[in-house]
Amino acid sequence: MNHSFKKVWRVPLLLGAMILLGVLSALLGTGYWYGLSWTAMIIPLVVIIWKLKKAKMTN
Amino acid sequence: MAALKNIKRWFWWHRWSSLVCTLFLLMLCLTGLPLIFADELDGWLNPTHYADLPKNMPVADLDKMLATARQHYPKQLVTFVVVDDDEPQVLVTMAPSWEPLDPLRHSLQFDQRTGRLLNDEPPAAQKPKTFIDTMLDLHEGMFLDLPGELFLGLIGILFVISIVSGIWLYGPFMKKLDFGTVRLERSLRLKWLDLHNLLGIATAAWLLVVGITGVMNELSTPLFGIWQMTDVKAVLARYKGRTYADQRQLGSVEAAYRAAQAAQPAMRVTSIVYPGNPFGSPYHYLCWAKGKEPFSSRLFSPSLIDPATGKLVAIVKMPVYLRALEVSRPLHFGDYGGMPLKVLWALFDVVAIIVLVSGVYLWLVRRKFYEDYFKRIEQEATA
Repeated sequence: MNHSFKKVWRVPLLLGAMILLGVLSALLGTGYWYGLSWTAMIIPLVVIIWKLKKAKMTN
Repeated sequence: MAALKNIKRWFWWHRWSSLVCTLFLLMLCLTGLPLIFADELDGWLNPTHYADLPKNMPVADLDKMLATARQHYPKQLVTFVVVDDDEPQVLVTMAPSWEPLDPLRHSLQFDQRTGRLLNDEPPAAQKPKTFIDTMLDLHEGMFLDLPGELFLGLIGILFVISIVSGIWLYGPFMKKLDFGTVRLERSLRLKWLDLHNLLGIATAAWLLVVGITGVMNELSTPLFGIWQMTDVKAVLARYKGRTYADQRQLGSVEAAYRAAQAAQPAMRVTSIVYPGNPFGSPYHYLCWAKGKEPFSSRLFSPSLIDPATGKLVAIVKMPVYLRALEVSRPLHFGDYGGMPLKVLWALFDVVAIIVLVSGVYLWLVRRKFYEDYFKRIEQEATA
C-alpha cells in the first residue's frame, strides 16, 4: 500500500467503519450500545458539515 | 493508458447504472422518509385508546375472543390471529375465503388483557388507505404487488452497482485532492462534483447497507415461496389430504397457543395461522414465535400444533436465506435503535437525495465535465 492510497482512503475507510459499527452495535445490543451506535453514526454527518463549512470559510 | 481505459469502463458502469435507477431511487428515498417514522405517525394519526391496566397482565382467553368473532361473522373463516407484543391487542382476521387478498378480509381488535372487543374494522377494500399505507405501497412495489417488488429489487441491484462503481472512481479522482475538498469558487460544475464525491463517499457504507437489505426485502415473497415449496412441504407431506370441512371442528386455539408457548419458553408466540390458510398448514395451527431480546426478536420460529389434541407436532427450522431476510428488515428500516437512530436514518436519507440530484446535474452538464475529468486524469498519468 503506497502513500497516495493511504492519503485518499484513510478518511473514507474510517467513516465507513463508523457506519458499520453504528449499524451493528444497535442491532446486537441495547443500553450503552445504543449510545455507541448513535455516536458512531453521527460522525460521518458531522464530518460532511465540517468540510462544507470549511470550504465556505476559505472562499 | 491502460489505467485510463479501465477508469472509462468503470465510468460507463457508474453512469448507466445510476441513470437507470435514479428516478426510482428518488421515489424510494422520498417515500422512505416518512416510513422511517411509520409507527409514530400511525400512532399519532390513528390512536387506539387502551384501558389503563397494570403492566404484564397475562393474555385473556383466546377461545372466548374467537367465539365473539364467530358470533359476529358466523359464515366467515378465521384466517389468522395476532397476539401483539407491541400494543396490548389481539387481532382476529377473518374473510369469506382463503384468498390472501380477499377484498372482504377484515380484523376484529380485542384488548389482550380483558378480551373485550375494541373495534370491528371494516373490510380491506372499504378501509380508507392511510398516508402510511400509500407510502408503503409505493415504496414496496409501486402498487404493482409482486411484479413491482421484483422490478424495484432489480433497481436496487443497479443501485448497488452504481455505489460500487462510484467508490471505484473516487480513488483516481481524489489522487491530487485532500479529503473533503469542495471547490466553491471555480464553477458550478466543480462544486457539485466535489459535493457529490464528498457526500457519496462519506455515506457509502450506509448506502450499501440500505441498498443490499432493500434488495433482500424485495425478494421476500419468492424466498418464502421457496421455503414453502421445499422445507414446509416436506414436513407437511405426511398430512396430505387431511383437512377440515368446518372450522368449528377445530380444537381450542388457546390450548394451541399455550402449547406453542411452552415449547419455546424463551420466545413469545405472536401469531397463529389457521389450518387451511395458504400461508400455513392444511392440518395444523401454525404458531409464529419470536425472541424477546432486541436481536432475537428479529428471528422467528414457527411451530406446528395439532388442533385436535393441542399438542406440539414440530418446530420448523428456518433456512439461512430466511434468517438473512429477517436480519435485513431492521437494517433497512432503521427502526431498531430508538428515536435517535431513526433521525440519523432520515438524515442519511436526505444526504442520499442530494447525492442523487447532484448526480443527475452532473449528467446534464456531462460534455464539459467528462472532457475536464478525463483530461485531468490523462495529465496526471503522464505527469
